[in-house]
Amino acid sequence: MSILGSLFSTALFACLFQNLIFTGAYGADEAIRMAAKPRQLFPLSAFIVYLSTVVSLICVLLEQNARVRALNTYVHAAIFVGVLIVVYLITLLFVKVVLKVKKRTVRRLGVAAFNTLVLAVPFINYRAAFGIYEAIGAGLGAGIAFVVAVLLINFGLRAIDKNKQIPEAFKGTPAIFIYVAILSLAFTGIVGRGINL
Amino acid sequence: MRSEELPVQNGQVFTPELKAEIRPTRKYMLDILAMLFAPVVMAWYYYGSRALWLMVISVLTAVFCEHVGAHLIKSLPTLRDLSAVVTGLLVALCLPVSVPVWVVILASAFAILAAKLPFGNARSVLFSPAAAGLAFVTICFPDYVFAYPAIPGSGEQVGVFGTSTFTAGMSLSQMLTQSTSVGGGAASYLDILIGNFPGAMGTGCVIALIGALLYMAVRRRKMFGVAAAFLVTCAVYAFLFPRIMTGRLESVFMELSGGMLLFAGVLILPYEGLLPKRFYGRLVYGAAAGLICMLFRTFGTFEEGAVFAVLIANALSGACDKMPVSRWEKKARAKQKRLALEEAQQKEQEQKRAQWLEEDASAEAAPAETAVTDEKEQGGAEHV
Amino acid sequence: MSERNRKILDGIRNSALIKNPVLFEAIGIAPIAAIAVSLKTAIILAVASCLELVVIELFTCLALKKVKSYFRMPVYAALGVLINLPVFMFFSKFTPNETLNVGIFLPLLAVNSLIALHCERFAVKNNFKDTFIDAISAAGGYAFVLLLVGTAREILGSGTIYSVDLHLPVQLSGMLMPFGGLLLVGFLAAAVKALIAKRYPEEKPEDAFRMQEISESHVGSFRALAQTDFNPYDDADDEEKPRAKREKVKKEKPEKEKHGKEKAKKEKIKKEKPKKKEKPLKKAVHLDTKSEKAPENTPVQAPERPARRARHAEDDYLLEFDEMLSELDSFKKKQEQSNTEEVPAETPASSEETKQDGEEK
Repeated sequence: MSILGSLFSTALFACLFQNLIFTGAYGADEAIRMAAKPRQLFPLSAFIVYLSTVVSLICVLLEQNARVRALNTYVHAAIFVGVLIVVYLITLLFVKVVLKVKKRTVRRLGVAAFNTLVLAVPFINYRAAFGIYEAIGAGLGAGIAFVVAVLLINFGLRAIDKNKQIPEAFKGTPAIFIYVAILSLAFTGIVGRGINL
Repeated sequence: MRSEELPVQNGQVFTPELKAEIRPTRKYMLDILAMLFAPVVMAWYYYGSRALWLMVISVLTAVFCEHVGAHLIKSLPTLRDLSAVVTGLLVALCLPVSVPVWVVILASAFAILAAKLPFGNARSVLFSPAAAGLAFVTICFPDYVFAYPAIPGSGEQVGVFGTSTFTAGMSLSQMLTQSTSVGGGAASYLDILIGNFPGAMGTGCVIALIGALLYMAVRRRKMFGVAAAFLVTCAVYAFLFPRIMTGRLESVFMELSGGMLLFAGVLILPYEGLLPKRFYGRLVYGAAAGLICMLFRTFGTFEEGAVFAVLIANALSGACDKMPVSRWEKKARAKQKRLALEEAQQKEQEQKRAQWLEEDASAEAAPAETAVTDEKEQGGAEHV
Repeated sequence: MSERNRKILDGIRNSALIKNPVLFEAIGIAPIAAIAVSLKTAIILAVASCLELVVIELFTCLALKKVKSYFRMPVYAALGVLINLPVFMFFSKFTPNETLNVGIFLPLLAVNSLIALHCERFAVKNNFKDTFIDAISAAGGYAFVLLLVGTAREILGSGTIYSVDLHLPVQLSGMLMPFGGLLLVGFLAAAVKALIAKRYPEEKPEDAFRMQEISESHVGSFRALAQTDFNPYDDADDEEKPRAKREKVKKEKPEKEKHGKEKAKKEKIKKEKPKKKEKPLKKAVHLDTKSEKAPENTPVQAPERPARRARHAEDDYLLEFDEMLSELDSFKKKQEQSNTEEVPAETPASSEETKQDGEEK
């Protein structure tokens, strides 16, 4: 089961050890803002996992084409954004017409689609030349990494909110940033030197 | 705490209320200093006065940073609670003696300025400051932090100031990463137990740390629960997934005594301000830290990941509070609540009594009320 | 004229300083924390993001007001990519090394949340002039933070400025990593906040990041999570009544907010306690509620809620000490009730009065 093995190991690696949000600060702002709205966590993270996996998969499938592979980095970027837009529109159509969801779900889809994390995954696949199953694993892992990150930051936000001793100058966002900084310090300890793409 | 808002009694800023607030922390820190006594002595014994010098520098940096930093952000530096001293000592003891002085200063300063002051004081920190300082220095200068020197021989003089040349030694954690076993024989085991082995300054002597663990078991049982859970998890992981070929028990022994694991588990992880409040929560907290530490050791790029595991466990301590409450805790709390209620009732009754007595006294003293009652007496007398 | 100028200055001050997108609203941190490691890369990022922000916000204000919000998002992304292209070409020609260092973040700037959030919050609702001021000042604030953090990280991390070696004795390579960036942003935010507190004491920059949901939050059940309304771009989330059939817990919140302040105080006591996850699967409702809970509960609330809350809260009560206060409150009330009967009997003045009253009758 080497397929499952590579998928699982890439997913585990991506979500625990190379947690993109803490080691590379991709999608950190979405994570911090969504961590302050814990009620929205579940649907948003479902969308992010879905989108990152699908976009990653489609981009890798496109990469298999030799002509696409030969293109410039910048055109690759345009292609990835194009794929993201197309997937978003298709999902939007499906979700609105077929499932007939409410407006708030559609708004969540918008936030989940256009953030740095979802767009970073195809780039990582491209730089690391992942195969199909590894790409799926990377997408899944990135989504789960986002959920893990938002949960951890949410615990921190609760603690910061309860903490009455924070000095005036640090109340609010400064304390949050320092908290996330120390958390990402802890996660960087695994990778060592961080990711430089 | 802001110095403008504190009630200044008789020109003193350290009012009795403030002192009462600081006292438990001070007691706790004195306990930790007692636990640290043996590692400090062993560090001096093996590495000479340079070890003492580094520790002193670290403590001075921590105290200075807390004082200056607290004044900068206009809060009151509570140096009386000795937390800066303890942080400085913990940071110094986890670093090897061959480390340059400025690395120690950096670690100490980061621990206080970035992990302690932005979150308030020692009672309200969200991460263990010593762990944060050590983690920072580990990532920035891994070559210095993991270059454990061989123990200087009995005749050698170790230069106290400045960097003298140390011969590189191979520490237990390095041996583990290279899957080298320590070799059979009681002599090498005894060496490891008493600390006669290359390693960080304070983490070598296993016996000293076990003594600290026993002290903790007697005086601070909550911390002991966490440390025990941490060590048991690490031991189980080392038993199940040994990194060396010569047997599982030896793997357990090497993993537990190598690197900062024992020191971090006994002295850095169970920081009282960060412990979960429930018993099962504390067990999960220690176990999670142990698991993450062993995972870091196995899969990470650095040879030692205990400080990072401590930081992540600190972040998870909020989640550990959601564990169910154990039965004996419930009973204890119910009893405590009952007692407190009874006390409160008694106080209420006494207060009421005092209030009624006052009312009595004022009623007798006030002429207006007596005039009213006189009228009423007359009125009543007329009716009757 | 001075009134208009003052308004303009206020607008600039608001968007750039007090509601600085990075420092106080936590928008667009990703490029700063990850890649702004030297002055050159910071300049590239600053130019790209400023250009994007200004152009896209003005375009939105002019053309996209009538378009539905979920169609605006892909337009932002597409426009962002279009604008990134000339910037990328320009910088590739002049500084190819730095462009390589920036790596994937230059294309990633197309989906920078800075653009989406500022457009949705300002451009769609205001006229051209206000939008222009907001765009310029937000871009200025963002660029300022980028350049400052980039310079600081370069000096601390590599010991150079603009690739000129400074021969510093110590180089903290940790600053070049994301956590260093986040740390510097945090300290910068604290410093700017202290400055604002000194110069404009009435402004509150910490309000820019809303943490109300944290203060009154509980993770909630999945059903509750799915039912709440969500408006990520507006400053206030709209509260829509959820269509909960079995979830009477969720119904409590809007009902609570409708009631007056007398309930609000009791809610405060409740909200101070840590909330547990509501488990909708636990259908067995124990109706033996604690007697202490009864006076606190309002009769309007659904009967299951206090029971479930009591069961969850029982564990919490055991551990939170300040809930003692609520116990004491209820106890006090009971005492007062009993006291109002006792007091006339005990105080001599009033006892005389009752004697007189009795005699009168």
